[in-house]
Amino acid sequence: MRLPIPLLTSLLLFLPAVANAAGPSAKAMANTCFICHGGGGQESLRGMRASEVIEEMREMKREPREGRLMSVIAKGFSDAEIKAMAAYIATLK
Amino acid sequence: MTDLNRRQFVGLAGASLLLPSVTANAATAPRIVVIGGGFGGATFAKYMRKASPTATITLVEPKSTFISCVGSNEALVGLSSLSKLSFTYDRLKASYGIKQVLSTARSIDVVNRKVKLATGASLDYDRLILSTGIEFRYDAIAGWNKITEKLLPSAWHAGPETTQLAAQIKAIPKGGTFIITVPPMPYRCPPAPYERASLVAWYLSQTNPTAKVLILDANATFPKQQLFEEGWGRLYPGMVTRIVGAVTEVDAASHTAKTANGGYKGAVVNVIPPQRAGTLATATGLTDASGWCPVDVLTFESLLAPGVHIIGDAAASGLPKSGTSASGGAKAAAEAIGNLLGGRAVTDPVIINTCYSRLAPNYAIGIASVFGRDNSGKIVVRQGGAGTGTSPLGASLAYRRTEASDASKWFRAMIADTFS
Repeated sequence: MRLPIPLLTSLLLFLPAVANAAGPSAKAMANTCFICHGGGGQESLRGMRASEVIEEMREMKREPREGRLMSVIAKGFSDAEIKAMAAYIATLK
Repeated sequence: MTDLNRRQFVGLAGASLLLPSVTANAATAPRIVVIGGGFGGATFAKYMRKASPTATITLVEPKSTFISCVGSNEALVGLSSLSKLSFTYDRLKASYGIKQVLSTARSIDVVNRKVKLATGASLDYDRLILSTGIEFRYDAIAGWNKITEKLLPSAWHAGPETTQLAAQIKAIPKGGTFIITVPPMPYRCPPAPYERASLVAWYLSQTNPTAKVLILDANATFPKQQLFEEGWGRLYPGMVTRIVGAVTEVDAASHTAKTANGGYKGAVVNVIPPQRAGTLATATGLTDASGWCPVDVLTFESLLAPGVHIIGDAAASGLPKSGTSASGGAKAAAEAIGNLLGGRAVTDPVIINTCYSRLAPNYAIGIASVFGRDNSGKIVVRQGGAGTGTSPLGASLAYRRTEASDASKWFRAMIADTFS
């Protein structure tokens, strides 16, 4: 299909506004954790190795009874995202 | 050095690292003004500092102490107290170089990017964050207005009304009825009316076991419905009744609430009124016909006024109106604004909503959702809808007890994430 030039131009101008974000950053994903993992809350993530975070998240996905709400949350992230998030968390002091 | 002292020391050291750069670049530093110091505004201020070491961040909030609505149903029945729900901005200010202006924003000039304060002073901004929450629709229920709310307090803002409603509940005569009216969605904290009904039933079951709880509900269904209904059957059999029907009229003198089905008389009528975005948002032209503020969920920037970002309950973002959603949206907005200020590409938001409801001191249920943005720019549950769920139905009392402990941890961590 051949689109008229003005329409093509407007599509090109419009698309970036909607599609310019390619997934959340590792930092943004990690920042969501602190609502529960922090002072007086669930286990602190600071000092965890990336491999530990990845293994915990996998276990949460597998064990809903053990993981409770965390198993729901773990399912909101892909394996690749968990890997990226874990690498970022491992850099936190 | 004690643990507390060490933490204070680290906080001060952090502040001393941050503050000189703010001062040094004061002339060119981006000016961020945040209106409203609830979960949204306070979290935004903190995470904005993490996203930009040089921005000047000013929080416009007339109160020096925040009283959390999360946990206030527990305070209503003596399981917590307003003092345990009160938090100051002191740590935020000291650790993150945030300036608080103890005043109310009166108006916003979105063209010249200025906020006018009740003190008469004005603040210039490069980016404005509005986190002003909800306002009641005083014209929605006949007989419920700014005068009669003094007799029928909603207690939907934690504070003196919580204490007033608690006294009313305490005075319910033997066998009397506590009526709670639920407005149509969207309203602040969707599961909270049902948590309140549950905890009032718990309180009455201890002191006044023939008393009843009646929920008059404008909504056909509600969040965690099966879990609540299971809990009521287990914990308070025969005590909690829910009738679907919007309350259109109340009579403060006779404690009567009316729906299309007829009138219901109680010892206490707790009206939770229909809601909209706050008056400042409306007066600034940031709301649409829904009464809420439409935003681009990539940055939470208003679709009606550039440079103004709306987070928390006031936004029509597609997120639930909850404290944790406000916090999550605040983090996403801070990250996006940090990228915009730095000339970097904005990345997709990710927001987790987590909410526990307590039905008894050792019995809680939860819901969680991981939200992202789809290709059309709407908020959706991530991973094709997989990232959402609730506590399991039919779980043991031991499981619910563990979730009650999770609920306590959730509250403590949320406060730590927001205010320190």
